Amino acid sequence: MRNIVNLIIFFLANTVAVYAQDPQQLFTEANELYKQKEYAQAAQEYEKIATLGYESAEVYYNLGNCYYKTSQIGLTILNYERAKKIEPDNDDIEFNLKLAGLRVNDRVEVLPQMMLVTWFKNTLASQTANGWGKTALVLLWLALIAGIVFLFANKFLVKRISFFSAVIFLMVSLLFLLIAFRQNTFEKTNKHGVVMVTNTYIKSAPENNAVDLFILREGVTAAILEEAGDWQKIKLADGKVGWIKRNDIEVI
Amino acid sequence: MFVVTAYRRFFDASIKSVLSVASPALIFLILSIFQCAILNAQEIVFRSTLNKNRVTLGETFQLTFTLENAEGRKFTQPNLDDFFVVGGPNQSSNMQYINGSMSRSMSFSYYLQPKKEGTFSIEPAYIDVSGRNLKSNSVSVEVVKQGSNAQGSSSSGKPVTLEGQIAENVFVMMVLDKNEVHQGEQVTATFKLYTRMQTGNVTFSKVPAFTGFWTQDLENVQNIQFSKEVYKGVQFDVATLKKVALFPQRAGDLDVDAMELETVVRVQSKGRQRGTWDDFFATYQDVPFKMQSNKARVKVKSLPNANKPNGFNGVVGTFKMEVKLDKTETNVDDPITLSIKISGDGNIKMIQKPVFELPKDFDVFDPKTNESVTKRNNNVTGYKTFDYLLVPRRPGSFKLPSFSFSFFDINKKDYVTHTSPEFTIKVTGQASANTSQQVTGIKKEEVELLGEDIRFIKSTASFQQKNSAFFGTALFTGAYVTPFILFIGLLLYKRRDDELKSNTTLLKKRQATKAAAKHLAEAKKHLQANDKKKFYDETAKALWGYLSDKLNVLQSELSKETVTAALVNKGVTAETSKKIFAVIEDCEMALFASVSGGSMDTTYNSAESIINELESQLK
Repeated sequence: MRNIVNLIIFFLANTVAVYAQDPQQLFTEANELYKQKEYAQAAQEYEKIATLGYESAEVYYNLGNCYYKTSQIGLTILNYERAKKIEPDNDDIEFNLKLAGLRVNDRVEVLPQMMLVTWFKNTLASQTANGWGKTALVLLWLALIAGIVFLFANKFLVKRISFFSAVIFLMVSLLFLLIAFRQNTFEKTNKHGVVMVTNTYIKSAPENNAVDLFILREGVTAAILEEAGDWQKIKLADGKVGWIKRNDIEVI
Repeated sequence: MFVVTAYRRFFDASIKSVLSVASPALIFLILSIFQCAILNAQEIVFRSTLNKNRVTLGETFQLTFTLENAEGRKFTQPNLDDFFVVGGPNQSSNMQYINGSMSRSMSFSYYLQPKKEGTFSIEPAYIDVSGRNLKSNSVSVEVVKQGSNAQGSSSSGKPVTLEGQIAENVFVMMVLDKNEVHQGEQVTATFKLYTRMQTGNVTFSKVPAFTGFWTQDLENVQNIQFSKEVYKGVQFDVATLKKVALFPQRAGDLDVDAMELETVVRVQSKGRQRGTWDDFFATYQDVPFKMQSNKARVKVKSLPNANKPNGFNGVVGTFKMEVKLDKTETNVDDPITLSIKISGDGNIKMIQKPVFELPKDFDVFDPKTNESVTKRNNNVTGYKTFDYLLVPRRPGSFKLPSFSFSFFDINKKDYVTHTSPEFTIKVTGQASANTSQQVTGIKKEEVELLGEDIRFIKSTASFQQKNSAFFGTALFTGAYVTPFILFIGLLLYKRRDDELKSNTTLLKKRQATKAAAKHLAEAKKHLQANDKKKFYDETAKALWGYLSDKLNVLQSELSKETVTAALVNKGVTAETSKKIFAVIEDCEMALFASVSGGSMDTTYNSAESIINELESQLK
């Protein structure tokens, strides 16, 4: 037990101590550049953080802002989406993404769904798999505490309350674990991408001379279904499916 | 034009003819000069014509044998026994230069009067042309009784009606070049004026509607030019008045209605005595005359359904298509012109603007359409152009999709489709802010957002390593499994603890007899030592201790009531309970009141027996 605790402390300390310096410094520098309206330079600095092997919702968010200011709509959407992936329920990210979306020259009408389904999906997507997992963990430990109280209490009322709370904590924890599993597979299988070129023709098959189905313009987000050679099969929110050149789309 | 005309008339010698017989010698000289040139130049025709093919008894008609483009000798006339030859043969020659080519003719005419009613055939005449013996056609004439069928004019020159007389000599015919065509194929209708009288200007009073056709005027003759033509054996002056190209728009039998025309015909005044000088001092009357052409019917075949292309809309003929783009690279808002030209023969007016779809990044205006229809050899030919102005509104690389134009090729009897090449248009620059907002489908609440700026950057950040997933790692699994293990461990501990506790009571139970025996053995010692107080104390202890251990009642809670309840619970009989309490009472009486009901021996024995009794009952 003591060993595990030591391990955790060591791990956390490591992360903070060894890696924190560089990205933090770059981040502050980039923020300064942004405040001076040197958006392109600020963007370069933010991008460096990513090359160091770090990611952060805030970095992506700020990067999105830089690209928005320099009218690079594809990169704007891409970075906001990346930020959103780490922090799904952030109001600022949501707002800026919405605003940037107005600059995209394509409107993809989301297929209408039942209120309940939408609510359900939104609820699940409000946390990452990690988020759900952590909550499940906390609840489980709470259940344990309640369980211990139940075991060793002598008084009937205390026993009763502790028993029911232990059961509820355990059930909710298991439910969250289930959601975390689902969200995890969803995150792994549901790859999304953003169109990065001013416009591209979506084909009916992964070939150059296949029929053009429709045009997508910079900044459109699409789900990536499968890959074939230099092509990726995508599906839009409105249900349209086609093949896009791999180079024309960037995975979020 | 150089015209030399010579007349030699023997019958009805008029002053005109006398004057025009200028110099036969000169004529013959000229004739002989040009003879060689003419001989082989044009076809030699020898034919017979009548001025009427229906006459009344006593009416004079004219029979003429004409030799064209040659000079003949040894003219042999046919047998004319059925008629009175009232005049002739009159020989006349005629030479004409038209635009450098010469034509000439010589004719022999007779004035005949029928002898009797009936239909008579006039045999061919013969003539020698440079050794060849030419034969004319035969003609027939119908002779009717005077006044019986009031058509034509009588020999005395009195027509039944003036109209009727003119109608026989002046009429209009509509001639179609084809009677059976495909839908959309051109039919040429020619309106020809046939006349044997002097006519004035011809005006069209009613042009038919040409229902079911798309029409195109090919020729509207302003200056009528006559040529000679034989119609039903009678020679007429014939002129083309109008040519119309008709394009049938539907399959089936289509009727072409009659054309109505008006003209003025110069006729000799009636009511005057005809005399020698009539011609010279002739008085003429201009009579307005209305004519109606014949009707016609065209059989229109529908176009085959096999291989009919998608975009086909009834264009028939032969066409080609040219598509040009004035530039393929441009800036935002800098327009590009797309020119489409379709040219060829056929119903050009049916050509519709090609259908193509450009990305919404372009504003496409309605094309400027230009049409030119001309006529060439009775064919409607020409072109139609469509000039599209394409205004790119956003940058990018766009494809101008190919589009096609289909028509039915009348020569190949099959459909032909011309497809335009695909163009790629590169648009550079930035879309103006105005345009980028014109994206369709912006919702009302989003419009309000348009003016807003993005939210400011975050000043603090928490970093994590890329791909540092916590969920699903060993750490997570460990952290999630640990509580279960802990709980199970604690549960097991608790259970063992409880078990241990329950084991002590069992032990106590088991040891109860032993302890009681021990206490009793002590009591026996005191009995032998006759230590009364210690004896009773030890006996009471033995009994109380036994009951406490055996019934699992705490020492502190021991009382007569609790023990009785416990005993009843365990199923011990009331008699045994009484005995127990009797012994205990004995002991307590002896201890506290120094009153002993019996001897120490009986108390000891009954205590021993009651424990045994309980032992057997509590098992």
